[in-house]
Amino acid sequence: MTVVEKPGALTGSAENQQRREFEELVRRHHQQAFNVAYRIAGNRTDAEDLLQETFVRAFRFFGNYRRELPFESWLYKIMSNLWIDTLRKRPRSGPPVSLDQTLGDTDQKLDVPDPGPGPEESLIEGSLDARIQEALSSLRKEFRIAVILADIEGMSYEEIADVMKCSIGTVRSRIHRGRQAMKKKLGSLERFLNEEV
Amino acid sequence: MNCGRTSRLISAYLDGELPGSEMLAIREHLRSCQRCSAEMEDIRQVKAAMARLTPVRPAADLEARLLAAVAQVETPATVRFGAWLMERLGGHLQPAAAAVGVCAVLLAISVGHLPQADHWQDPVAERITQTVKLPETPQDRAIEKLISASANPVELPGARSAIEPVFASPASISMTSAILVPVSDSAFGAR
Repeated sequence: MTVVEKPGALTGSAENQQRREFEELVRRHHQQAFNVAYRIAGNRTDAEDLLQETFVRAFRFFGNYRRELPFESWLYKIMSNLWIDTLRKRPRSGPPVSLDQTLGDTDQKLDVPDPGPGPEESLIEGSLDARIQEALSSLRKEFRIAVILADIEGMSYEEIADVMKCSIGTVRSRIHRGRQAMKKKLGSLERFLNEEV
Repeated sequence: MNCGRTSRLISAYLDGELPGSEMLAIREHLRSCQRCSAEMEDIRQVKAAMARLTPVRPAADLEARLLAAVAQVETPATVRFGAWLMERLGGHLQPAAAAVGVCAVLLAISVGHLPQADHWQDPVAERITQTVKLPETPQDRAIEKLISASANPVELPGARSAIEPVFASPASISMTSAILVPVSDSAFGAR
């Protein structure tokens, strides 16, 4: 059915055009953006939340988006700010508590959800992937984002500096220190890299 | 090129993110230094492992959920206002004139002359929004001079009452310099 807009319905038309353009960008970029969100967040639930909040904020500030720049860079700028912000606001965990410890006078034990990938995910994504994700998740947030943007998204240091709002020298240092920490965590990768071929 | 500097630049070297002269100097150093070569191999392995990560695919319904979440969001206020203004003025003015009107109102909003929408306070958005710095004009400099001489105020008949209201914030000084031009021209003509 062809919808003919009334000449007086200009407001609705401009808003709809903006929405349609944004929805197209969601369709086009959500898979790749999910992959990045997953690597940043470390699990599906947090990745989905992060991605949803990123797109919601991106739409809210769509008027600030400069069309001559890649949409992904702008999206990752929002995503990384959001993630850093989320981490900053997250309450610090208290002293470690044994999972076998009972609660008060009852026999009830702590029921702690596992934020990591479930057994099915680990199986599907393979052992090397799981180990790398674990090493990535252990990095400081700034190092993690810089390494992900460089090694998964293939962004240049200049682009990463723009996304992370820092100098190229800082990007260089974050990527290098992130990779060094990962290497320390992963140990020898030679065997893994040969096995997976 | 020494070991310390080479070590710091190894990742950038592997990513091809150094100027040619440094790339050559590091290559030369690596030929003769086993320790740095071993470190480069370690970093190269991490980079190779990252490149081979299997892309994680989202759940089948994620796209629909994202679109539904976006649909819940009200259209940005600036877009709504621009569309509204175009509708009201579009029939009477040329589009360029209407665009100038939109820009003028947005500019006024940005310096706080109109109430701001709640989400403009968003800390994330604040980092995304870029600050526009207007060029300094001779009138701005003259006004600054007047402010700094406030201990010994200068009498400017006819200009003082026009300038005073805009002293509230430094941001508003340069924004309103155009409005002050007729006054300041006569007031500072002797400079």
